[in-house]
Amino acid sequence: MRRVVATGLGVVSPLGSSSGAFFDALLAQQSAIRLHDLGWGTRLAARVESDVESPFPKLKRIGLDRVTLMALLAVRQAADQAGGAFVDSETTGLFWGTGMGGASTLENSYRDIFQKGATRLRPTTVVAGMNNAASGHIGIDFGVLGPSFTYSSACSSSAVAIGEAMRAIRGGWIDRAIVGGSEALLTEGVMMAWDALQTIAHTDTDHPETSCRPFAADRTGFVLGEGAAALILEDEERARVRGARCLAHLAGYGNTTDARHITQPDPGGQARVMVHALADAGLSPERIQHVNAHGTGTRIGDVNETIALHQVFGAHAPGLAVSATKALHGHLMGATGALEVIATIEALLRGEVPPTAHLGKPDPLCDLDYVSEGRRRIENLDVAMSNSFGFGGNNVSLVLRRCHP
Amino acid sequence: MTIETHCYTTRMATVLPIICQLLVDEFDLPADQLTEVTAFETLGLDSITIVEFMFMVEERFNLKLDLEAEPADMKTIGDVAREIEKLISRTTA
Repeated sequence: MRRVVATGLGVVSPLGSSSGAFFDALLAQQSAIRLHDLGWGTRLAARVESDVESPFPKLKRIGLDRVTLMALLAVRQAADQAGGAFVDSETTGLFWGTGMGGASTLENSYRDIFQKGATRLRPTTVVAGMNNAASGHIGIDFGVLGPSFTYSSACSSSAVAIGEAMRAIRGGWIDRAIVGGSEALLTEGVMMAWDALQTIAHTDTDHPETSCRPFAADRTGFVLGEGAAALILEDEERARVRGARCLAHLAGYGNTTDARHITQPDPGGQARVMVHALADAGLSPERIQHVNAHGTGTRIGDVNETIALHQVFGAHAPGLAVSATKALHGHLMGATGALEVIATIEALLRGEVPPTAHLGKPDPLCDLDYVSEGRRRIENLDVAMSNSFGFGGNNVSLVLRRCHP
Repeated sequence: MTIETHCYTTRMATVLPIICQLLVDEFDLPADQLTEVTAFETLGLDSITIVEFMFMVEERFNLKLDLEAEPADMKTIGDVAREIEKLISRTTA
């Protein structure tokens, strides 16, 4: 069976707009979470502060939602790093994830109708707002002629995209893929909808940037974020022949459904997905050294992920370095799976894992090693796992391995 | 200055410069490339961008272009200006 490697990484995130800058910020425990006066209210959010519009001519931006602009910027970085050309190739596929697509385009159109009394809308409303807008424009800009898919399974969307691309390359259907996800949902309507679900972190008035506290006793939920993360995946042999640098092996992929509850995560489904990913990688649980947890910071989610990790890893569970990076970059929904896979790859490249920030008060029910003291070097860091569990009950686990020259 | 120099005819003294200015403001197009006979295609506008621009023109003049009746006739800046002139004269007649 063919093996799959990552040869390019791209990040447009609240913690910086390159893979390296993003991971540096994670290691330094910098939080992108802020209180923002959004005009209609003040909310915690992790926003992309870099200018994502000016890199594109105004004419090109017509009909492009923020979710697509960020996607194109992230893919450009990944493609530049990978080198080589995808142009006009049917052996290149496109696998993208997003939760809410062009949320601001749709919201603005509703505002035009219901508030301003508009009787018609901008002609580009559909093409900017549709969930596959980002993948459509990536295809156009990068000349992808092979298969393309847009996955929307909430928080696991872009992790699914990575896993399915991996399978497509392994199986010989395609040779390389542009994969990842983007999300731009910091709009009034979307944020108020999330407020109503009562999964959003309460604001720490003294230190708003510490409001998201995965695995801590005083955790109250997550903070919405936006951004894009992209990878170039390739058949290992073809990457080697063309002299591309291997950044990580994508060794294992699992995908399960809880079939229990629309929001409440099930440790059983989470445990099954990790078992599948390990089996797919052909590795025993003891080989995993680091886990980038889904770790959103909700009351039930963090306990259930801890239970699932105990079930899968048994006596090895306390030996895992478990990091929940959403405390710092926020929850990027459809983009978060890919962003955290990139964090995991950076950890393998550098031999150092990021901390779980703001974990001052441990929860007795969350009893693993969450790297709460700060960044940690791990000698011979070789194998890691990244978990993404979505509303709707979809679970994805990906196993990544360091490249050996 | 540039708009008045390049994008002007006495026949459409008011409308034509406004349409050119819209192209400059909304799409950042270079004013010195915009004339009555400039085709939208040569400016890099594709079919969806042209439709979006027609929408902007309609909003600007508070008029409704009959796009379905004669879509092929709106290829140049002048085509759109002439149609607007026609509609204005009809509404003021």
